[in-house]
Amino acid sequence: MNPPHAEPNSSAPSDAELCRRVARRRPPAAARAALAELYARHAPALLAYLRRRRADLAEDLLQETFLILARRAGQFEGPSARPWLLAIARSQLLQAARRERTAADHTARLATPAAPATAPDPDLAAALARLPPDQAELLDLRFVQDLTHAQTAQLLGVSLRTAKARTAAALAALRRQLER
Amino acid sequence: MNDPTNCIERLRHMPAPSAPDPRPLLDRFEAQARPPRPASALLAALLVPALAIAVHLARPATHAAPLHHALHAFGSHLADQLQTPPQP
Repeated sequence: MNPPHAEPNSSAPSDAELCRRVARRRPPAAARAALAELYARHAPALLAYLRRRRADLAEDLLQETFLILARRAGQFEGPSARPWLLAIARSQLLQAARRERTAADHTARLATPAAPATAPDPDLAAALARLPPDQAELLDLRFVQDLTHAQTAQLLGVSLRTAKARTAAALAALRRQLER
Repeated sequence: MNDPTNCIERLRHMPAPSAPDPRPLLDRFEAQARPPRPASALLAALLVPALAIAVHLARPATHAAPLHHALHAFGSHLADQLQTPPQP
Protein backbone atom coordinates (compact mmCIF):
# COMPACT_ATOMS: atom_id res chain seq x y z
CA MET A 1 0.00 0.00 0.00
CA ASN A 2 1.05 3.53 -0.59
CA PRO A 3 1.25 5.57 2.60
CA PRO A 4 1.14 9.03 1.11
CA HIS A 5 2.42 11.70 3.40
CA ALA A 6 2.97 9.16 6.14
CA GLU A 7 4.24 11.34 8.90
CA PRO A 8 7.29 10.00 10.67
CA ASN A 9 6.77 8.95 14.26
CA SER A 10 7.44 11.55 16.89
CA SER A 11 11.00 10.40 17.59
CA ALA A 12 11.99 10.51 13.92
CA PRO A 13 13.37 13.75 12.51
CA SER A 14 10.95 15.77 10.39
CA ASP A 15 11.48 16.32 6.68
CA ALA A 16 12.49 19.88 7.51
CA GLU A 17 15.19 18.69 9.91
CA LEU A 18 16.45 16.14 7.37
CA CYS A 19 16.62 18.86 4.71
CA ARG A 20 18.65 21.03 7.08
CA ARG A 21 21.14 18.18 7.57
CA VAL A 22 21.40 17.66 3.83
CA ALA A 23 21.92 21.39 3.28
CA ARG A 24 24.66 21.60 5.93
CA ARG A 25 26.65 18.86 4.14
CA ARG A 26 28.63 18.27 7.35
CA PRO A 27 29.38 15.81 8.66
CA PRO A 28 29.14 14.07 5.27
CA ALA A 29 27.88 10.82 6.81
CA ALA A 30 25.00 12.65 8.52
CA ALA A 31 24.06 14.45 5.31
CA ARG A 32 24.14 11.17 3.40
CA ALA A 33 22.01 9.45 6.03
CA ALA A 34 19.50 12.32 5.97
CA LEU A 35 19.15 12.12 2.19
CA ALA A 36 18.78 8.34 2.45
CA GLU A 37 15.95 8.80 4.96
CA LEU A 38 14.16 11.32 2.73
CA TYR A 39 14.53 8.86 -0.13
CA ALA A 40 13.10 6.01 1.94
CA ARG A 41 10.10 8.16 2.92
CA HIS A 42 9.20 9.60 -0.46
CA ALA A 43 10.87 7.70 -3.31
CA PRO A 44 8.26 4.91 -3.67
CA ALA A 45 5.33 7.33 -4.05
CA LEU A 46 7.34 9.62 -6.27
CA LEU A 47 8.41 6.71 -8.45
CA ALA A 48 4.76 5.65 -8.79
CA TYR A 49 3.85 9.17 -9.95
CA LEU A 50 6.73 9.28 -12.44
CA ARG A 51 6.00 5.80 -13.80
CA ARG A 52 2.39 6.73 -14.48
CA ARG A 53 3.64 9.69 -16.52
CA ARG A 54 6.78 8.30 -18.12
CA ALA A 55 7.67 4.70 -17.36
CA ASP A 56 10.75 4.86 -19.58
CA LEU A 57 12.34 7.77 -17.70
CA ALA A 58 10.94 7.27 -14.22
CA GLU A 59 14.02 5.97 -12.44
CA ASP A 60 16.40 8.51 -14.00
CA LEU A 61 14.04 11.35 -13.16
CA LEU A 62 13.65 10.03 -9.63
CA GLN A 63 17.38 10.29 -9.06
CA GLU A 64 17.54 13.74 -10.65
CA THR A 65 14.67 14.90 -8.46
CA PHE A 66 16.47 13.91 -5.27
CA LEU A 67 19.74 15.47 -6.45
CA ILE A 68 17.88 18.73 -7.06
CA LEU A 69 16.33 18.45 -3.60
CA ALA A 70 19.83 17.95 -2.17
CA ARG A 71 21.14 21.05 -3.93
CA ARG A 72 18.20 23.21 -2.81
CA ALA A 73 17.61 21.60 0.58
CA GLY A 74 18.39 24.85 2.35
CA GLN A 75 15.37 26.49 0.71
CA PHE A 76 12.88 23.92 1.99
CA GLU A 77 10.09 25.11 4.24
CA GLY A 78 7.12 23.11 5.39
CA PRO A 79 6.20 19.97 7.23
CA SER A 80 6.39 17.49 4.35
CA ALA A 81 8.82 17.45 1.46
CA ARG A 82 6.33 15.48 -0.68
CA PRO A 83 4.64 18.43 -2.47
CA TRP A 84 8.03 20.02 -3.13
CA LEU A 85 9.45 16.77 -4.51
CA LEU A 86 6.39 16.33 -6.72
CA ALA A 87 6.84 19.85 -8.06
CA ILE A 88 10.49 19.13 -8.86
CA ALA A 89 9.58 15.80 -10.48
CA ARG A 90 6.85 17.45 -12.56
CA SER A 91 9.29 20.10 -13.70
CA GLN A 92 11.75 17.35 -14.69
CA LEU A 93 9.01 15.63 -16.69
CA LEU A 94 8.21 18.84 -18.56
CA GLN A 95 11.90 19.47 -19.27
CA ALA A 96 12.31 15.93 -20.56
CA ALA A 97 9.32 16.42 -22.89
CA ARG A 98 10.83 19.67 -24.17
CA ARG A 99 14.20 18.01 -24.80
CA GLU A 100 12.49 15.26 -26.73
CA ARG A 101 10.53 17.67 -28.86
CA THR A 102 13.82 19.33 -29.67
CA ALA A 103 15.31 15.96 -30.53
CA ALA A 104 12.25 15.19 -32.69
CA ASP A 105 11.69 11.75 -31.24
CA HIS A 106 8.62 12.67 -29.26
CA THR A 107 6.32 10.76 -31.60
CA ALA A 108 8.14 7.52 -30.93
CA ARG A 109 8.07 8.17 -27.20
CA LEU A 110 4.33 8.74 -27.21
CA ALA A 111 3.90 5.18 -28.38
CA THR A 112 5.49 3.99 -25.14
CA PRO A 113 2.85 3.08 -22.57
CA ALA A 114 3.06 5.57 -19.73
CA ALA A 115 1.72 3.31 -17.03
CA PRO A 116 2.82 -0.28 -16.64
CA ALA A 117 -0.14 -2.53 -15.83
CA THR A 118 1.33 -3.87 -12.61
CA ALA A 119 -1.32 -2.54 -10.24
CA PRO A 120 -3.36 -5.11 -8.34
CA ASP A 121 -6.40 -3.03 -9.30
CA PRO A 122 -6.10 -3.40 -13.07
CA ASP A 123 -9.56 -1.94 -13.73
CA LEU A 124 -8.58 1.25 -11.98
CA ALA A 125 -5.19 1.39 -13.73
CA ALA A 126 -6.87 0.87 -17.10
CA ALA A 127 -9.54 3.49 -16.36
CA LEU A 128 -6.86 6.01 -15.36
CA ALA A 129 -4.90 5.25 -18.50
CA ARG A 130 -7.97 6.06 -20.62
CA LEU A 131 -8.42 9.47 -18.99
CA PRO A 132 -6.88 12.59 -20.52
CA PRO A 133 -3.36 12.90 -19.04
CA ASP A 134 -4.15 16.12 -17.16
CA GLN A 135 -7.15 14.53 -15.43
CA ALA A 136 -5.20 11.38 -14.54
CA GLU A 137 -2.39 13.52 -13.14
CA LEU A 138 -4.77 15.60 -11.09
CA LEU A 139 -6.38 12.52 -9.51
CA ASP A 140 -2.92 11.10 -8.88
CA LEU A 141 -1.74 14.25 -7.11
CA ARG A 142 -4.93 14.73 -5.13
CA PHE A 143 -5.72 11.18 -4.01
CA VAL A 144 -2.72 8.90 -4.60
CA GLN A 145 -0.13 11.43 -3.47
CA ASP A 146 -2.64 12.88 -1.03
CA LEU A 147 -1.94 16.54 -1.71
CA THR A 148 -4.51 19.02 -0.47
CA HIS A 149 -6.60 21.02 -2.93
CA ALA A 150 -4.39 24.03 -2.21
CA GLN A 151 -1.16 22.09 -2.81
CA THR A 152 -2.56 20.60 -6.00
CA ALA A 153 -3.61 24.04 -7.22
CA GLN A 154 -0.19 25.48 -6.48
CA LEU A 155 1.62 22.65 -8.20
CA LEU A 156 -0.53 22.88 -11.32
CA GLY A 157 -0.44 26.68 -11.34
CA VAL A 158 -4.22 27.14 -11.15
CA SER A 159 -6.59 28.74 -8.66
CA LEU A 160 -8.04 26.79 -5.76
CA ARG A 161 -11.52 27.02 -7.28
CA THR A 162 -10.24 25.69 -10.60
CA ALA A 163 -8.41 22.84 -8.89
CA LYS A 164 -11.57 21.81 -7.04
CA ALA A 165 -13.71 22.01 -10.18
CA ARG A 166 -11.21 20.02 -12.22
CA THR A 167 -10.97 17.39 -9.49
CA ALA A 168 -14.74 16.92 -9.52
CA ALA A 169 -14.72 16.64 -13.31
CA ALA A 170 -11.84 14.17 -13.25
CA LEU A 171 -13.60 12.01 -10.65
CA ALA A 172 -16.75 11.99 -12.77
CA ALA A 173 -14.71 10.99 -15.81
CA LEU A 174 -13.03 8.22 -13.83
CA ARG A 175 -16.41 6.91 -12.67
CA ARG A 176 -17.61 6.81 -16.27
CA GLN A 177 -14.50 4.89 -17.28
CA LEU A 178 -14.98 2.40 -14.45
CA GLU A 179 -18.58 1.80 -15.52
CA ARG A 180 -17.57 0.83 -19.05
CA MET B 1 -18.54 1.78 -8.87
CA ASN B 2 -20.90 4.74 -9.06
CA ASP B 3 -19.91 6.03 -5.69
CA PRO B 4 -17.21 8.67 -6.01
CA THR B 5 -15.97 7.81 -2.54
CA ASN B 6 -15.26 4.33 -3.80
CA CYS B 7 -13.12 5.79 -6.58
CA ILE B 8 -11.24 7.90 -4.08
CA GLU B 9 -10.63 4.96 -1.77
CA ARG B 10 -9.36 2.84 -4.63
CA LEU B 11 -7.03 5.65 -5.69
CA ARG B 12 -5.79 6.08 -2.15
CA HIS B 13 -4.93 2.41 -1.95
CA MET B 14 -2.99 2.20 -5.16
CA PRO B 15 0.28 0.50 -4.29
CA ALA B 16 3.62 2.20 -4.66
CA PRO B 17 6.51 0.34 -6.27
CA SER B 18 9.75 -0.38 -4.48
CA ALA B 19 12.22 2.38 -5.13
CA PRO B 20 15.58 1.42 -6.61
CA ASP B 21 18.71 1.12 -4.48
CA PRO B 22 19.60 4.64 -3.30
CA ARG B 23 23.38 4.07 -3.26
CA PRO B 24 24.10 5.50 -6.75
CA LEU B 25 22.11 8.60 -5.79
CA LEU B 26 23.91 8.93 -2.46
CA ASP B 27 27.32 8.48 -4.12
CA ARG B 28 26.51 11.22 -6.62
CA PHE B 29 25.34 13.44 -3.77
CA GLU B 30 28.58 12.90 -1.86
CA ALA B 31 30.64 13.63 -4.96
CA GLN B 32 28.75 16.89 -5.50
CA ALA B 33 28.92 17.80 -1.83
CA ARG B 34 32.72 17.62 -1.66
CA PRO B 35 34.14 21.10 -1.03
CA PRO B 36 35.58 22.73 -4.14
CA ARG B 37 39.33 23.15 -4.48
CA PRO B 38 40.36 26.30 -2.59
CA ALA B 39 40.99 29.32 -4.79
CA SER B 40 44.52 29.72 -3.40
CA ALA B 41 45.44 26.20 -4.54
CA LEU B 42 44.07 26.89 -8.00
CA LEU B 43 45.99 30.18 -8.17
CA ALA B 44 49.20 28.43 -7.14
CA ALA B 45 48.64 25.74 -9.75
CA LEU B 46 48.41 28.43 -12.43
CA LEU B 47 51.15 30.70 -11.10
CA VAL B 48 53.93 28.13 -10.81
CA PRO B 49 54.07 27.24 -14.52
CA ALA B 50 53.56 30.89 -15.47
CA LEU B 51 56.54 31.92 -13.33
CA ALA B 52 58.66 29.11 -14.77
CA ILE B 53 57.94 30.32 -18.32
CA ALA B 54 58.64 33.93 -17.36
CA VAL B 55 62.02 32.99 -15.82
CA HIS B 56 62.91 30.94 -18.89
CA LEU B 57 62.10 33.78 -21.26
CA ALA B 58 64.01 36.28 -19.17
CA ARG B 59 67.24 34.31 -19.42
CA PRO B 60 69.98 35.82 -21.71
CA ALA B 61 70.04 34.48 -25.26
CA THR B 62 73.45 32.85 -24.66
CA HIS B 63 71.78 30.55 -22.19
CA ALA B 64 68.87 29.67 -24.42
CA ALA B 65 68.07 26.04 -24.79
CA PRO B 66 69.25 24.08 -27.85
CA LEU B 67 65.66 23.76 -28.98
CA HIS B 68 65.43 27.54 -29.16
CA HIS B 69 68.52 27.66 -31.42
CA ALA B 70 67.16 24.89 -33.62
CA LEU B 71 63.84 26.67 -34.04
CA HIS B 72 65.61 29.94 -34.81
CA ALA B 73 67.77 28.26 -37.48
CA PHE B 74 64.77 26.56 -39.03
CA GLY B 75 62.89 29.87 -39.13
CA SER B 76 65.81 31.60 -40.88
CA HIS B 77 66.09 28.78 -43.38
CA LEU B 78 62.38 28.98 -44.13
CA ALA B 79 62.58 32.74 -44.63
CA ASP B 80 65.49 32.31 -47.08
CA GLN B 81 63.56 29.69 -49.03
CA LEU B 82 60.52 31.93 -49.33
CA GLN B 83 62.59 34.86 -50.54
CA THR B 84 64.35 32.80 -53.22
CA PRO B 85 62.53 33.22 -56.59
CA PRO B 86 61.34 29.96 -58.14
CA GLN B 87 63.65 28.39 -60.72
CA PRO B 88 62.28 28.31 -64.29
